[in-house]
Amino acid sequence: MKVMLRTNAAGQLLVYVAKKDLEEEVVAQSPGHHQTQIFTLSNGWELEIAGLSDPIQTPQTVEAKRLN
Amino acid sequence: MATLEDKKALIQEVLDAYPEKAAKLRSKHLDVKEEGASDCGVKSNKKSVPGVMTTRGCAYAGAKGVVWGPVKDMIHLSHGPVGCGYYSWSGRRNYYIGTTGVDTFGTMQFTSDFQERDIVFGGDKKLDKLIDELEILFPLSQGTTIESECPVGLIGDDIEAVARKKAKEYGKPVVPVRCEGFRGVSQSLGHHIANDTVRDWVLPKADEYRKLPEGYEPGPYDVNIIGDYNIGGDAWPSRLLLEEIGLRVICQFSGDGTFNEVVMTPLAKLNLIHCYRSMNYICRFMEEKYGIGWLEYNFFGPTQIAKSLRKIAAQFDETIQAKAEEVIAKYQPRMDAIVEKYRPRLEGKKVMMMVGGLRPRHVVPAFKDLGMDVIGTGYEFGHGDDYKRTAEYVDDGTIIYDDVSGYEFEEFAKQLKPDLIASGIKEKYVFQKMALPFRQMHSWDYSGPYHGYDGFEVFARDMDLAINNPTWSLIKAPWA
Repeated sequence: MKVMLRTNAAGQLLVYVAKKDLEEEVVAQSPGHHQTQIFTLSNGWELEIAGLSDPIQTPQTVEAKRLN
Repeated sequence: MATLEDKKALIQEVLDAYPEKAAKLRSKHLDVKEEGASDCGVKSNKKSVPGVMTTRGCAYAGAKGVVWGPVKDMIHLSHGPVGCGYYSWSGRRNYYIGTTGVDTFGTMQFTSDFQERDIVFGGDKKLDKLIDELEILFPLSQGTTIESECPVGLIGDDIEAVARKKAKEYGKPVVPVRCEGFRGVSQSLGHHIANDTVRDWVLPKADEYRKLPEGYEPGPYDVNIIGDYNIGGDAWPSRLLLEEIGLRVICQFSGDGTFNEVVMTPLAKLNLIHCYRSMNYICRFMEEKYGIGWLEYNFFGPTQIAKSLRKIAAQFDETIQAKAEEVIAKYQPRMDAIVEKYRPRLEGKKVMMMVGGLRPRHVVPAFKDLGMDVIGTGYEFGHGDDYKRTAEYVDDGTIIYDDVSGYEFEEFAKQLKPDLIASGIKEKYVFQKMALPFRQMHSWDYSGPYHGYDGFEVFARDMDLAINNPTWSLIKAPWA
């Protein structure tokens, strides 16, 4: 699914899912397989996102896969 | 009704009247704001339960009435049978300046008036001809939007093709908005669809459409006002305030706004968004595409106005920050006088609200400034992010109801005994017959503006007029 990564005023990374109208903070970030990153959101979702630069450029829309 | 348990018990009591399945569905939408909770504990943006009275609108209402409708110098065409346009005609009181029927069309109603023939053979030819006629009758219009009603989606008309053809023919934007009423669960999806058409049909061609005023130079203080619909003139005091602190407002998107202002939006430095629910989509898009940040603000009541002005000024340099402080200091004595006058008359009065968009949370501090308590609030069509934002506005123990039904609202009012109900026209007479003072919060009950320092004066007066009206002593509330 398409998600938008953005940084809020406090510098916290947020994930916004337009289809679900869901905006959650990223509470944990860990590397996954094949150079992907796994984000854990404050609502418990885990999203796998590939091809992110370091540091992550925001805002940007990326393709994410939900793991749980 | 003092403790949390009492309120939870009340919700349970109200739910008991429903059949089992309906009670289960509705129970997720009613809750009490608990201490330390980061949201309101309710589910939202779900289909209304069949058989109960809801106040929601449809996608067409959201796209035509809210987002596109107030763009005053375009023709907004209700494409389909005549009723949808007629019964929503000019109902939102979006004030504007201009000569109606010549260069502005805000209070006019245009429809393609579908007949049986159009359903059977398709309405595209009619639409084509209609746009030709509009061009002859209203040559000063800056473009057309086609808001499709339910049948257009059902019969599969290709309004996009017509829009492309006609836009080419006249060199004006023609925007097809696929906002058939059956889409989504409320008007909220209509807002989203309309925002998406701005993204897909307007902004990519913004450079081509834009007519810059003579001598226009981009400045460091250019901002857009997004999502202030100018209900009763709301956007005007907001704009004056922003200009007073030294910002230059280059666009009032959809409140007394023109199409040219819409295509000016990408030139601004910051998007200031008032109604988050209906316009956040386009702000998020502009943030990603043009790098324009966005900021929510709240111009209801002196406390929040001061807070918002400081928040906005913090995005700019010190001259703006200094001016913001000056402006706040300038208006403070006037606000103190208003509070001094009305607070003794309104102190401790209890309010229940149920509105849409941003008001169920944004108006709460304005009531608090007058010493009133909001004991219950809820959205017609809010989403999870709205309820998250609401948590910081409401007190612990506030009853939160999402998409409240007629029955639930009445029962809550009977038990909680508020002194004022603030909701819409559909609720107004029910509660007035229950001997409860009432203010419409959609259209400000034909009053307004309520935004900004000027608006607060009107707001305070109106609340006083409603609550302390001697009429209420002549009728008895059922529980009195």
